[in-house]
Amino acid sequence: MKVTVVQGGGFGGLVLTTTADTAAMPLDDAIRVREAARGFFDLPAVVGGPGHADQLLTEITVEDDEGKSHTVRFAQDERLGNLAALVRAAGRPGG
Amino acid sequence: MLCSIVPPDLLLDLGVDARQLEQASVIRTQRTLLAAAQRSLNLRLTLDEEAPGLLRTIYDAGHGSFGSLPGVKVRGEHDPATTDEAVNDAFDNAGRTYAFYKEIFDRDSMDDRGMELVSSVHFETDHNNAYWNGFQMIYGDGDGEVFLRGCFPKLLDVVAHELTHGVTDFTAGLVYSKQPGALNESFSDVMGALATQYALGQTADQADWLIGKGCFGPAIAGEALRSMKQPGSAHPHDRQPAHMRDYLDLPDDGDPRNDHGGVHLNSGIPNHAFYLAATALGGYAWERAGRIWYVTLTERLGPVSQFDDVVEATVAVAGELYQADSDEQKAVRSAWQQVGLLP
Ligand SMILES: [Zn+2]
Repeated sequence: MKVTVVQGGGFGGLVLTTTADTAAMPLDDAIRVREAARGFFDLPAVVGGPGHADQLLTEITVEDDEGKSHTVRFAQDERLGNLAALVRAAGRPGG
Repeated sequence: MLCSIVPPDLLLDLGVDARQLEQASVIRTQRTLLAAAQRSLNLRLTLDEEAPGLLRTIYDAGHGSFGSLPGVKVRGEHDPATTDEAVNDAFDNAGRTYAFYKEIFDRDSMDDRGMELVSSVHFETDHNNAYWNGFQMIYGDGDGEVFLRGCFPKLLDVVAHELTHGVTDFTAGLVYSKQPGALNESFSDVMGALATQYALGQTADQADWLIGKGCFGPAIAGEALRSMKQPGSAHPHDRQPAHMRDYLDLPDDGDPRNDHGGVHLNSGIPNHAFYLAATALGGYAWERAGRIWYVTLTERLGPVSQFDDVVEATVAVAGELYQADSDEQKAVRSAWQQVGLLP
């Protein structure tokens, strides 16, 4: 499973991209990524509201072991608990 | 009641604690309604009626996320400094920003009614951002790679930039998208730079006109986040235009690469216009150019104002404050001509 995280729109105006591949990770990290990605393919393409000034915008793309991929965009928000965990598990470009 | 765009069962699948979620959601809704009511009815809470003036409260989010905001109170207005540098930096720079607005523009906090300045430090772990969420300041620590640790609350221009988003919320209300969003960003950079110049006693030609100087870590290796003097030159990935011919017409589609339609990118154009007007006038930039921009932001703009509206308003305000064809009005007009917004 591959997870790509793109973040932008923050105070610095930077766009940061991180890609993580569970095949290249220690076993416990790979498990953490898989757990955080549970239910991800059922999410709509955009979740939550537009966010506030300088709040990070995040795009996560998960590609499963069969090559099927799904992309979700969101402004970081308290309602998105495990999406943040997925960002962290993938190596966190912005937070 | 749980109110969310994502169905609750999916949230549960994703491991979110529904009860915590509900509490956070209710508190946020109550706060939003209260703030909206205060704004639309132009009211102040009775309890606050007799207490205008500087009131700062700093909380420690303890590396928690949104559920833990604002966090544990660690310093109030009359408390002594703590041993935590981030707490003291957030406290001091909120005070300097308040002093700048009060002493230069006679503005009493963001709402001009003595609104409490609430800040939370240590938001999440290694979080590479600082922002204003409509109620309070939120500071991450930085991961030490992209952003140096502790740099956000330490830099006055960052703090004044964020608090100016609050001023904009209470005045022009510029929406955070495309041109109004780029103007929203630009007013924050302008006031961030001016608050810093005021605190340092710098004239326009002494100032470096950089935003976030020295904040980048080794992964970026740039001098600053933005340059008002030379937009596009602050760091290796800086794409800010300085002229309308290079305007980046990006969609506001939620894609992080497009930055709400380029709000942190196209802000380079009005940023550079302010720099040109302020340096043409010389002296302290907050005295004349700053006053023209402040009156424009707080009295002449609305939520969907475009670049052309700001051009027209600043030229008109310069004429009203300093007479038609005054040096001030000529400097403003010339600045907009140089960035391609006036013929
Ligand atoms: Zn901003």
